Amino acid sequence: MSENQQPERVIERTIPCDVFEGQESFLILADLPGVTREGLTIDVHGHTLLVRGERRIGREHTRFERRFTLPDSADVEQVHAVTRDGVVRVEIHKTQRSRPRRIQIQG
Amino acid sequence: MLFGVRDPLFDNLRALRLLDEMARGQAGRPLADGHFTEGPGFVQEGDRFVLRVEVAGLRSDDLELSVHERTLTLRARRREEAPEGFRILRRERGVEYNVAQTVALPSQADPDQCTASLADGLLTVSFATRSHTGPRRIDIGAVEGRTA
Repeated sequence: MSENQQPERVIERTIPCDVFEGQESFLILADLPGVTREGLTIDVHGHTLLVRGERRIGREHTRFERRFTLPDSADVEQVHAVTRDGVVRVEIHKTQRSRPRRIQIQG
Repeated sequence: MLFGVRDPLFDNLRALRLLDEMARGQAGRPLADGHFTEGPGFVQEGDRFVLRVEVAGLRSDDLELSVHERTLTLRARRREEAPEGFRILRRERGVEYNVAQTVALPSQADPDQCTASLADGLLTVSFATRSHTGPRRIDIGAVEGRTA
């Protein structure tokens, strides 16, 4: 069997990530080397965030996946993502009521 | 509720993948935490030998490639600070390292014909195949004034 006739090889991989918390948002940095913007999908279902990516090199098809459970303080309507140099940066804003706020002192 | 990162199959899948790739003698994979997590190697693609290394987050300034005789050396530096104003909840990516990894060139690779490219955190290094690698006959010259 020649190399061109060999079946596609599928590889399932997890995504190494860093997670940070700020006063107004959460931040996820995820390594997805070789995955272009077109090969990347980020879905939010309820309080579950699912990051998936795929890349094809020759007959090798690599699928990346990682699932996150967002805390109650996360505003699931305010999720933004950018990708650069194989690193995906996902920012999840916090709900207004969970952000710190200054209390005015009367009198 | 705290921020949850669910990955129940993480350890099993990773261990299986590493064993699988070791068994198949596959080419190198991620560079993380200061090490190539799997032994790098070349694969033949058409008339070229190709090495791919995952270097997510690195730019060309962070990488240095050199060829000496029959070896290729890759040096990589990464240093990432936590974003300002954020506290760390979880760290898995290689945050800081400065490493060098050397790999032998395939016997048929031409060390003088090398190209490298970096895209989306994937470094691709490619060598052309040497035009003549087969056996060749050496002419034996006669030396004046001597007999066999």
